[in-house]
Amino acid sequence: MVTPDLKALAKHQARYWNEDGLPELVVGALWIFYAGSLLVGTGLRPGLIRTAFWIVMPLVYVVGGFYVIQWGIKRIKERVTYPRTGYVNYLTSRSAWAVGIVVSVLALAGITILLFTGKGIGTMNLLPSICSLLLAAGVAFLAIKQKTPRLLILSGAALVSAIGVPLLHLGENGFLWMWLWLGTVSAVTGAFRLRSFLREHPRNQEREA
Amino acid sequence: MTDLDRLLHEPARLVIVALLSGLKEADFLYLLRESSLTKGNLSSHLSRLEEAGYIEIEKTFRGKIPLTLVRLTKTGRAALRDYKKAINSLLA
Repeated sequence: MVTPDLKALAKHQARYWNEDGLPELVVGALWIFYAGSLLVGTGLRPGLIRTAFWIVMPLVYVVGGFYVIQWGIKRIKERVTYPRTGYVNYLTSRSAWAVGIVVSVLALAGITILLFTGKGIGTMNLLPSICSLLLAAGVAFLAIKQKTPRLLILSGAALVSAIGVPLLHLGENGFLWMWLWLGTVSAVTGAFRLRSFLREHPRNQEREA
Repeated sequence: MTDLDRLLHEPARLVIVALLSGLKEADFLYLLRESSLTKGNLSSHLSRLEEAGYIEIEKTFRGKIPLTLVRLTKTGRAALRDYKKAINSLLA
């Protein structure tokens, strides 16, 4: 055995989380749920239920996006991935959680301020494009850093969304179509990856020494 | 060469410790796949690392399936950090 490349090992460790396609599949499902919830929310008649819905849903988005999704992916991996290719528990830094909370609070505060200052609607219509652009850049960075070219498909889809939402004049429905489009692309690429992962790693492997 | 940790300087053991460095814990199957060692070799290297206090091994069950969990200890993390420093200063 030659001297190991420690940096390459560290990168591979990070890539292992995405190797089975499950994170993309679950995140895709979550984004489709976001789209569905927006569809329901815009369909509600003005009144108490609609107000309550729009107060609760942002919290559901944040909690779902940051915490439930991690918990859910881990539970599925325990049944699907770990028996096939091995179990790992990543070190979670407190700073990452803190950054997650700060970003969520700032995003919610920003949207609330935009809505209540009256400048909201015009700027809000731009938000899907801005979010798509940020997502495209973030996913492309991840794809290159972790050497996972598959993720470039999602990055490309986000770029299409960033350009397509204003071109198609989707207005208030911009977020709905953005989540639906990106959720579908993410879920489909994740499902294809999961299918090949399951073929490559059948479950009846020997487990222990 | 005198500053280098002989235990970690062995490539297979260095791979095991490096694999564990970004993780809270991993099981035997993961280490087996990622290190490309044989079961016997991996077991032997894990024993050496456990004797040195670099790792902790916990034998447990998930349902009816035996599960060997491996964790890097504080001593192991410090040893890897020192090893990296030593090797970098040698190469500099």
